[in-house]
Amino acid sequence: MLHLVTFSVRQALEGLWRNRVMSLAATVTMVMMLLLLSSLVIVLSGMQAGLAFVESKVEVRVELAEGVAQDRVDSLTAQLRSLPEVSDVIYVSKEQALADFTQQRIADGQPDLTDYIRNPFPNQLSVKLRDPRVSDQVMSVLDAERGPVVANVVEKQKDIDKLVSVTATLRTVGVAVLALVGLTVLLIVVNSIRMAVMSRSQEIEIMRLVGASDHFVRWPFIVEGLLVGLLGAAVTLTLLLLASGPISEVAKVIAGQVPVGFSQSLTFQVTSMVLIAGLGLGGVGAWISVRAYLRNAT
Amino acid sequence: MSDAASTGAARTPGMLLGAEPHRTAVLEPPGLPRDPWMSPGPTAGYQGPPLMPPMPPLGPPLLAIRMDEVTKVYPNGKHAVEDIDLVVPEGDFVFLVGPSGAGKSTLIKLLVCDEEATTGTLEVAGHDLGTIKRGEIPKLRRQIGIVFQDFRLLPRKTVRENVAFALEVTGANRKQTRTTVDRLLGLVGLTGQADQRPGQLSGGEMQRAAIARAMVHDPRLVIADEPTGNLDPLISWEIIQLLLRINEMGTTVLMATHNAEVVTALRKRVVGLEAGRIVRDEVGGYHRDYA
Repeated sequence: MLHLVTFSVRQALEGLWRNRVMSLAATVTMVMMLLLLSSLVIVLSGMQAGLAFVESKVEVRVELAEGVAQDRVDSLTAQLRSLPEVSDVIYVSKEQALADFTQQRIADGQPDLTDYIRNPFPNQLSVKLRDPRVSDQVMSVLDAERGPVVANVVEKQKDIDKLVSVTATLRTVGVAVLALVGLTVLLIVVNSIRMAVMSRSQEIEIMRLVGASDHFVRWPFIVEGLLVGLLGAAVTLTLLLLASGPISEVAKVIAGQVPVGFSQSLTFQVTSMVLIAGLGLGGVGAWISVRAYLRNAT
Repeated sequence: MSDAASTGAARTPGMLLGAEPHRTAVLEPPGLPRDPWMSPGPTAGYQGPPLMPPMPPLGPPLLAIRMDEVTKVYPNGKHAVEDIDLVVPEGDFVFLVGPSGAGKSTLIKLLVCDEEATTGTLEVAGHDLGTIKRGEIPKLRRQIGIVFQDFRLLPRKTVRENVAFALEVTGANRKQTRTTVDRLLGLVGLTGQADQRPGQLSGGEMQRAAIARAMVHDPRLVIADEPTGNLDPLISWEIIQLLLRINEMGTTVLMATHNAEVVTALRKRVVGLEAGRIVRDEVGGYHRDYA
């Protein structure tokens, strides 16, 4: 077993070196594909973080009519709370609403003008949804109470829908592009290993005649494919490591208060995906190539 | 081979074979034109001294090869070999002769499991090749040493590495490999050339290296396909001597050859193939005229 491993690694390294132009081409395309994969993962995770952030802020804001009796407000609150799509209903008094607004202006570094105006905010109910995109029942309840109790309903669903569709499109396009590039890489690996197999066909023939088991014939090439994948992954991760600082800076500038960047979990995710994709494509490509060859040559 | 010849085949018991019942075709159809390759060459009447002492009697009649009505039809419809019945006891030295295209190569491919027989049963070194599993084929091949006309040495490796390679790829450890390779290089007389590459060797030396490689697993059977085809007569004799020595040590040798001089001189068993059939099986003589 150990002998098979050392033999395979030794033969694979020899094969990589002997076929270095093709190996280099395979590795470079592998790196490009892996860079594409990791940027897609990073961008999508950024968009996902943004989406989660925006979704957490989204609510249905119900502006109550002036001078509504407290018991009617309480019964509406209870009714909304009982809906399965609602996670919480919070009463926001007009004073509270003004205070929140003032605080946000100060946080944004803008002058506090509230001293000069009369409080424009009505009393409000803030309805938190379980899924920001599902609010049909809430809307129908509110529509029924419109007039005497509910003065106005402010919805922010439209914004979310846009963001969701952008994310979904990006994911679809990204996965499609990735699949095409992945296929290209696979074919290049298959071709590169096929050339390695051809250049060693004499050796393979002798191996088979002297009674080498299929493992000894096959594994050197599979290891060669895995090494191309590993090399590609290593180069990709090095490039990403070098670029991660600047990328994080740019992301912070673009995203503002949205928490994006290389969190530990994202780093782990990208590293493991790059490694798995690299080794997987290299190994599978080599396996396909060797299998096709050996089947013809039994 | 004409139809008249095949239907006229008289099946008689083989001459060399022991207890194992078998059939061997000995065929001498009357009136057939003699093929040019069969005619006695200038060296056909070699009368020199016997090159080797006669072999001691064998122990139990183990069989290296047993073929029973073996036929191989290629996908293109060509009948490469037909109705081959051949029994080779362990320790035998057998020449396989016949014109090009007679089926010698196919027969060898069948024996080393490179091709599968279309019909018939075929046993080599105790393995039934009809039922052998794919995973077992390497084990079978380790019991067969194969030598080719074109040597098939790896040009980038030295003689020592070429021989060691056959052990390396079958999982032998380093120490074991070194001992075996040294012993075999001594046997074939290449100790001094161990670190040269095939390009630096003469044809005879290359073939000796190939024979050393064929011997690494102590095979029960050595199959040599025209081993002297690329060599001049003197060197050919050296190679034959080496194969005889290997045979003397107990290994069965099956040698396909066109070398009439060698076949005639050695008085070993000769199996003649023509158009895919065994047309003779007897001791001595390259051509069909025998006393």
